[in-house]
Amino acid sequence: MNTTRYDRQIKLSEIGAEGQLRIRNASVLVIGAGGLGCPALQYLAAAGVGTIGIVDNDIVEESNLQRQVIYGTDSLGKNKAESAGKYIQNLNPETKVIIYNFRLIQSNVDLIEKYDIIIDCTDNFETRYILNDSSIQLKKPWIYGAIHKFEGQVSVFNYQGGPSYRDLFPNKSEADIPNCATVGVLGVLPGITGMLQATECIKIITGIGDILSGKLLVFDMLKNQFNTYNFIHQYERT
Amino acid sequence: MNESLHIKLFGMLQEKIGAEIELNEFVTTVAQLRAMLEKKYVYMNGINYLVAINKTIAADETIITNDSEIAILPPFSGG
Repeated sequence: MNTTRYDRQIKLSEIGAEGQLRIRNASVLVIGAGGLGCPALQYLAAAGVGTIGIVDNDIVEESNLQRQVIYGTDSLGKNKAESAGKYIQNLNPETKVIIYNFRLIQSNVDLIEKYDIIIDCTDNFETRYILNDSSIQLKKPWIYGAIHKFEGQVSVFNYQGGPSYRDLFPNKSEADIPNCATVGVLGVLPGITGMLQATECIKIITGIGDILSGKLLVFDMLKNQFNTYNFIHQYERT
Repeated sequence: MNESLHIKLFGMLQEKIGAEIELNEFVTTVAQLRAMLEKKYVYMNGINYLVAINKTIAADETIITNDSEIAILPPFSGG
């Protein structure tokens, strides 16, 4: 391991050489390489996460470039997982990057078993519930991030048996919840949200700080307000 | 017991209803609050939302008092 690369975080007494080794030995699966996935991937690769899997079958479109900042104009039309993989491989050749050019569905969700931590950077509720239920079965913590225009939500679910997304929202809403394709989004918002997810990930790997387990962080960038709401197990697990 | 409810809303509920509302309604539990809101704002029907009382996600039977800090949180999509 090239310790010079990680010198500034090894210098943190909370991380040190041991924490860096933990980061190198960690495997993280990022589901979705869009607005949330891009910053999460950048910072996790830069931090030296040993293995990073990227799941996405979308292609880069021009309307993505305003916020999915690891893609350039020359990425247009290319698969996101592959393009993001190339970007982070160049950023850190020490990271093992595994590309999954498909959408996460029920029949392939067991993929998460190979990873220590899952990061939900998806843009839809269907995948989120599949991930939630499988992570409980396979005992995997997952880091949730979601956005609405200028607001974001971040939490860590199923961490050491902690509550899950269904403890907040037991079932999918009957009404449509608008996404950024319909209501728009400020480009930096998914950036901030994805970085908060990456931060929780590094904290879990290195065992430092307070984890957002049983806590829903809600922030509003127009008002500069950050609020944390506590929650507990409420949903009956089968 | 309460005379006036001060409620903060998030996400698309903020756009439809307002970021902060003051209601002169009498409710004592979260279940009553939900029923009152859904009657007053038809838009809220069919949307899952959380009710937080004093920064904790509250169950239907949670008591609401005069000085309860109430927040209504809908799910957010992704990115």
